[in-house]
Amino acid sequence: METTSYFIRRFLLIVPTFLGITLLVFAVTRVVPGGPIERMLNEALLAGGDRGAAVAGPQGVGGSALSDDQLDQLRAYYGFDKPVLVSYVEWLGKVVVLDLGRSTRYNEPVWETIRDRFPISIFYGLTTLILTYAVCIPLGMAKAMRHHSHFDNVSSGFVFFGYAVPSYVVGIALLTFLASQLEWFPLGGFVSDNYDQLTPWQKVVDVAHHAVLPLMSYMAGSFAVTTFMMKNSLMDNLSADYVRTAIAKGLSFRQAVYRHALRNSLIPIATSFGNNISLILTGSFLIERIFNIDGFGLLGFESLVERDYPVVMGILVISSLLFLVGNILSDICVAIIDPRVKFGQ
Amino acid sequence: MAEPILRVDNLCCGFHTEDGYIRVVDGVSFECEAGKTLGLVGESGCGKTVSALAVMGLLPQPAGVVEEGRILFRGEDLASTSHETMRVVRGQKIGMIFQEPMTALNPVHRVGKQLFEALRLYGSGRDQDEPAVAGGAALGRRNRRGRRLYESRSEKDELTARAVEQLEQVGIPDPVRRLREYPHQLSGGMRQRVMIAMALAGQPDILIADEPTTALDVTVQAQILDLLRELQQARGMTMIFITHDLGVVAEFCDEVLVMYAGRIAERAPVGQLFKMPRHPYTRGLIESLPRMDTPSRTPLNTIEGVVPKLTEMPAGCRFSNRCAYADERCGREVPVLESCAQPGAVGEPRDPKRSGEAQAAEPRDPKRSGEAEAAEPRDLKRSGEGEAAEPRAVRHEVACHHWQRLAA
Repeated sequence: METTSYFIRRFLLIVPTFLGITLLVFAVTRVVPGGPIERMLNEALLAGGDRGAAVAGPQGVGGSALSDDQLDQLRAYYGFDKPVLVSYVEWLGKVVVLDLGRSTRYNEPVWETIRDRFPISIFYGLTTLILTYAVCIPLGMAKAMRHHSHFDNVSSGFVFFGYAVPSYVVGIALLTFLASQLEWFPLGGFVSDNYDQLTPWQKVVDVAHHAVLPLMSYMAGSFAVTTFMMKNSLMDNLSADYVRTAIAKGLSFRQAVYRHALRNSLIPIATSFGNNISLILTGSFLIERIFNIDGFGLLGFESLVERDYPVVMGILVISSLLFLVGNILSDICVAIIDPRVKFGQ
Repeated sequence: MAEPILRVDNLCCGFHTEDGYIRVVDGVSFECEAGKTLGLVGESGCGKTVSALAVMGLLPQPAGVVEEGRILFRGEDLASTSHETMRVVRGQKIGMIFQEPMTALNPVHRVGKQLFEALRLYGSGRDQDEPAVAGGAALGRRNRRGRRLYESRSEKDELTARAVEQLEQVGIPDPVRRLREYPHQLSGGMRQRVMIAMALAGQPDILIADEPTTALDVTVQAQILDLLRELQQARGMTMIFITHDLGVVAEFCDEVLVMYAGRIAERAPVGQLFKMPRHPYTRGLIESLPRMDTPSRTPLNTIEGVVPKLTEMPAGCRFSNRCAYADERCGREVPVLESCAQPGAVGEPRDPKRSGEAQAAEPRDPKRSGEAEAAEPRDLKRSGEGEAAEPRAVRHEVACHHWQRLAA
């Protein structure tokens, strides 16, 4: 009962947190130099330089390439004509009715721009998440139970290697050897060019074929953390008194591990679950860039570079919501696993 | 003397650590008589818990090893027996309760689930009359039933009934509700009672209690000790009681093994030990106890120094660096455990009351000896030992080169 009301309160707390995050970023987009208008001015200046004084002559007031009228129009277009708070409230009013505005770069609704990337990001995000847990938890368990064996040492070597090498280096290396030289895998992209002509089964194979290398580079880094979290946590629990009690009752070692130690050692894994959800869904722009995948990470990076603020804010809305919900999800997971956790007291 | 239920013979065990192998228990031997309580006393790290864990086959793996020695339970060597047999021995032949009831129960499972698990392992739990460990293999097969905790409604009901019975035996009020609770919802004393219920669910012949009251507050300690004593008498159970509390030893044990730095310093019947401690270490321990009649503001007696590190032990007697009586022989030669009890044995003429003591092991506490008698009939049936009828020599051994000099 207490737990339920605690989670209701947690969900309500999303609202002020969300407002805080978005207001902060919204304000930052106003303050940072190099906004869209300055870029526009620079471009106009460069263009003016090309075309000589013919254009610059009558309009060159104060060294600006654009007239005040044009600047005002631009400001109105980008929504910079009003004070920060006023335009923030306007923006927020639209977000509430699921209108994220229009991309200044593509001149199409932000929602559509983001929506196009969604399937790709979700595919990679969820697959990475599932594969990471599906591999790391059993691997960590096996390593914990065979601590200091050859298997443990050799697998530690691989895991640490993957951790030490940045994921984009792993990506480039994989691409160079397995795709470029050996031609086992395609060079990039999400699907082949002839995707539309494939049978459903071939489509699945095609997506999987394209996904192998990016997934490997995604997982290389997150592997070490989760595997070792699992290993250490299980080892802590294997030496816990209650495991000794279980064996003293007459249980075998395996039974003691699976019935007693395992659930306790999942607690730290569950705690980090929420963090992983949001991180993985927002992707990594470097890997997306290397493998030429049109995902969230790349979109976010490009729109930041291009000062496409409506898209930046749109991505922020989605990723911060994911982050907030993910945190609550991991709290729920922890509460399910550990009965000692009593929220709301 | 009849064959003891448990005989530990020259037990040596230790741990592989980063710095190499370290022997923690060095040549410990003892016997437990059926129905009696053997106390293992010594300070932290002296090897008493490790010895007990070795008996249970519970040394932390893979670091802990029994390098040599035999652990004979009803004639079968547990140190060399199969894992299968050990699983039957644990819980059903030898039960164990631990020091920390806070951590000894799994925090994420309900009390009921943990008790059911034990009860399921032990089958019906009421057919324990079959001949001991020889039936190990058969029991093992019977226990390897399905993996789920309970197979049917009726099985769950039966388990619940038995679990409630177990909890009632250890004096837990409202047991039905307790079964549904998690360990953190119980007090320390309650948890230790649950541990005791779980350890006794398999009707073990021997109960090893590893400092069962150390983590509890004093009033609860007394309750738990009373409970253990009641249960022991009701079941004629043998107990190995590990503690560093000499008060508990005096009250609870029949025979005492004083350990120091992995070796036995002295073993004696409890009365004898307190009346005539032979080993300088035992003396030091007893002298450091504050007494009711000590005038106030008297500084507490202590044993000077600390136990040396296991890697820096003196070559001879391990107590030699702290011992007021030590000479160069002590630093060189390891003292062996030798008898110091037989009247007429080498140089023992001192105490005129001695001969009287030789007949009754514990003349000090009339309440205790009464209880010992109450427990006796069952013991007789179990072990066929005629101890009460025929007084036998007090067994008092000490490992010190100078005990005779000290006794004089």
